Amino acid sequence: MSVVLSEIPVVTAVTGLSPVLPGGHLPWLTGLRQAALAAFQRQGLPHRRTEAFKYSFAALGVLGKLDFVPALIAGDATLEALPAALPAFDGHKVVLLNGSYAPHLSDRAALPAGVEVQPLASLLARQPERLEGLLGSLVQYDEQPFAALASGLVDDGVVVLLEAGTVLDRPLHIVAITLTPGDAPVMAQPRLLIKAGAGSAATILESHVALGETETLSLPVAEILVEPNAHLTHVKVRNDTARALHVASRTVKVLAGGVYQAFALSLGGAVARDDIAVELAGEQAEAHLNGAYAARDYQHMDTTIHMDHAVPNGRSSQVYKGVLADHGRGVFQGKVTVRKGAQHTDGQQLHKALLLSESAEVDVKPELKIYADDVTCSHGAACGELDDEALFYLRARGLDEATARDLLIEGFLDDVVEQVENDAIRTVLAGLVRAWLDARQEVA
Amino acid sequence: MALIEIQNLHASVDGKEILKGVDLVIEPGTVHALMGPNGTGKSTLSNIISGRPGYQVTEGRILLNGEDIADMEPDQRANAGIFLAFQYPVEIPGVASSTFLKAAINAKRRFQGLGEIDAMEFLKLVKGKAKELGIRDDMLKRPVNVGFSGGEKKRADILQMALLQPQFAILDETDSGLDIDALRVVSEGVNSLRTAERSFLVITHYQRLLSYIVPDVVHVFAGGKIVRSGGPELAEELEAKGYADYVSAA
Repeated sequence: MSVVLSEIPVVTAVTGLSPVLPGGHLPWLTGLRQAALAAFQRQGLPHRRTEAFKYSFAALGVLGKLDFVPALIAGDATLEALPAALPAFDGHKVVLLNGSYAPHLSDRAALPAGVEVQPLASLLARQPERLEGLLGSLVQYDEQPFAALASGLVDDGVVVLLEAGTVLDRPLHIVAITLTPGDAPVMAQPRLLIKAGAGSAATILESHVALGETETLSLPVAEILVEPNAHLTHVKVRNDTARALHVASRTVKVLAGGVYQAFALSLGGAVARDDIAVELAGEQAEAHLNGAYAARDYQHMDTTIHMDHAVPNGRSSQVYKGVLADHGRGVFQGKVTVRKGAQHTDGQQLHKALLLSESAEVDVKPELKIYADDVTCSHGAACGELDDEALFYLRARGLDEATARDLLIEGFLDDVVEQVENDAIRTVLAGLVRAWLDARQEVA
Repeated sequence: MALIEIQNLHASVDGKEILKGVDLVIEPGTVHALMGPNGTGKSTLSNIISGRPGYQVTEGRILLNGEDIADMEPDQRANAGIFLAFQYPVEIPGVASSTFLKAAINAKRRFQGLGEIDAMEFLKLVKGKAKELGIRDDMLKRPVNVGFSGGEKKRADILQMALLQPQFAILDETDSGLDIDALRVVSEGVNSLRTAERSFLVITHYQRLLSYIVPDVVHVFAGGKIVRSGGPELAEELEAKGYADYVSAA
């Protein structure tokens, strides 16, 4: 049974899967899936008039041309060991293969008290009442249609629950691997649910790796609740093989005094989009979204952010940098909403793009909706080529043209990678940037 | 054999002739000063020697140890031993100074047929030289020239010179915007690098720097060429009388 996404009847076909999905006996869960699918059905795949997908609907059109098979019925992909491409990381580890928990590749043995990391399917089977009212509570289907489609099939993923006051000793590495087991391209929807209790602190590294030569479609959905005065650092790395499609939806709610510090590194794949919605719902809440991406060949990378200041005294920032080579295409849509009464909001946004070829393109759409009158908001968008003066300076010190260019490109991205506090994670990110540059050198 | 020989060099920028027949011979182990009023082409000369794009050499040659450098790229000239201390050193965010220095050292080593420098050896070398120049360790971690004061940028240049060991270093208006202390640091750095094999071309308006870096030869540059050469006393004469005589003659 295959799923052709361009036909709305797909929803019916996918709905047909409902009875086989875990937790099918739970009315709240089947209701959630049905409501999600209905929401997707209303919206359909993004098209020319879908404002939020203005710069990406064409690139995503490929979704209508391929018959994707939901992972549940696609058959098992086998993976003996984690791909060498993945950072070897010293920390707690949970691995999802095509969205399903892979116990033989995971390691949750040393989690400290107060930190619970559970596979979603397992929790749905054993203690579903803990997820009722939590799963699906944050995501907004009308803002994130792919979250709707993914939620229609929600079956497995990772649930991270931090009790109040708990500090996670070492980073938690959540790895989502997508790999087509047969011939038909697989579709997976890894789910991430994080609840950081009041005053807790944790660092989470979320790695997405699509492997293989066949197309894959990953629709990750993350729901993150940062309770009062909790501090969550969330680093996402996507490093996909050439034909991978990735449309990620993330919704974050930060309560009073909470801090959500995020970084995203995006490399590889054919088409990728990060849809991030953050609500600063409590006073003195903070959210900082930084990111770096590098697109080459005909890759398309889209980051769409909605930062919503609901109450006074919130602080937010978005700093993203992109490198576009060959016919690469970058999209950055950063929306900041400051609701009425959200006084003394401080919201900053900056996007910088480095275009390395005449065919590269970047589309940047900053949007500020400010309904309060005592706020500090700024936005900046800069786009340019490598600085000739800097290039000559390096060459005048003996560096050949290719080495000089690479050093400048690396510096451009490392500038924002440097903001990641955790030394080990930062080293991993810098290494991936360096590897991306080296790979280009080999082809050149 | 002369280290640098410039023979009847004519050069233009955007079709306008700036250098109108520069002749200059620099023997190894000497410091030459190039003085003259603004806009006469002194920086153009230093840019052309270092290989900066945007200039057209229309006549004449530049020889380094007898070899014509016309077809050499800027990085090849650097590895062959030419060092240009920029008038306005460029800031390079995101590229740590130590990373840059290591890349430059390795570029030269590759050119010389050597392998890359060992990490520990590099650290020891850089920290040693930095200490001699009064450069703090944390400055090495900072991105190249970002947020450096004028004096710090010049110190960084001297550090580069000390590490790359050029045969011929051009100091283009090194003294612009420096206070006395920074001037002293630069001068001490340059003087400490003076050897029987290494030569310097110091381009400046002011006699002041030349009290600290005493030249062997002083040239007056006006109207796109060298119009007079002499010993260090020529610099004092220029200080006293200015460039008026030479400008009207050119």
